[in-house]
Amino acid sequence: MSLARKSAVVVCTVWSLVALGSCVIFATTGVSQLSTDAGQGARTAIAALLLAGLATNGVVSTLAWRGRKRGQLDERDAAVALRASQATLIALAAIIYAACIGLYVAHEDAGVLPAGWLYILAYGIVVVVSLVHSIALLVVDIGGRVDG
Amino acid sequence: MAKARIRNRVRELREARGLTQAELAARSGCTRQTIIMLEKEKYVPSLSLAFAVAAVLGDRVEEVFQPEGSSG
Repeated sequence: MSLARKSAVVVCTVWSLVALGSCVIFATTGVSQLSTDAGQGARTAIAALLLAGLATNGVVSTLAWRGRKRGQLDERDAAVALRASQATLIALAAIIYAACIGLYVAHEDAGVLPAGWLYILAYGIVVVVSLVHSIALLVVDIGGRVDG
Repeated sequence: MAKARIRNRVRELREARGLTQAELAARSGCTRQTIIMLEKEKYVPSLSLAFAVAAVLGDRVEEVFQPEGSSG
């Protein structure tokens, strides 16, 4: 397995666990509790999960930088990364749009939005970007046609 | 304008010269994964890589890479 594919698998696995952990914490804490003092533990736990994910991204980026210098990454890996980034951008726009419209529709009658949703949106976007990008990398690398 | 599909003879020429994918990759300055995708025609290389691969295979670039429908 190439360095690029190994990196994408590692990032995808770690961010899947982060996403799963975050969902469990969000679900058990509840949106209304999240923005209160009672939700401090949950916020800290989610922040720690994100930190672990970001640290993984940092390690993988460093390994990729070293690998590029050693010739373990080439022009095709760069082309795959570009295609994956384009796909991620489109997917992210669609996800943010759907999430915001969904929240608007759900809370339209109340006229107010629990602050906890903004926290979930903010942290959720970080998780979704890394997760979707690593999935897109794998899909394009394994099956997609790319041009150099 | 629609992009022309590029066919290549990388596998055929590599095997004829007794090279492994890893050897061809190392000599032409790319990864083995790229050679695999080249041979499956799932990757169209840059001009510089196309010239490098052709040079390692000892052929002219137009004999290794050809647009689909070209008789060569």
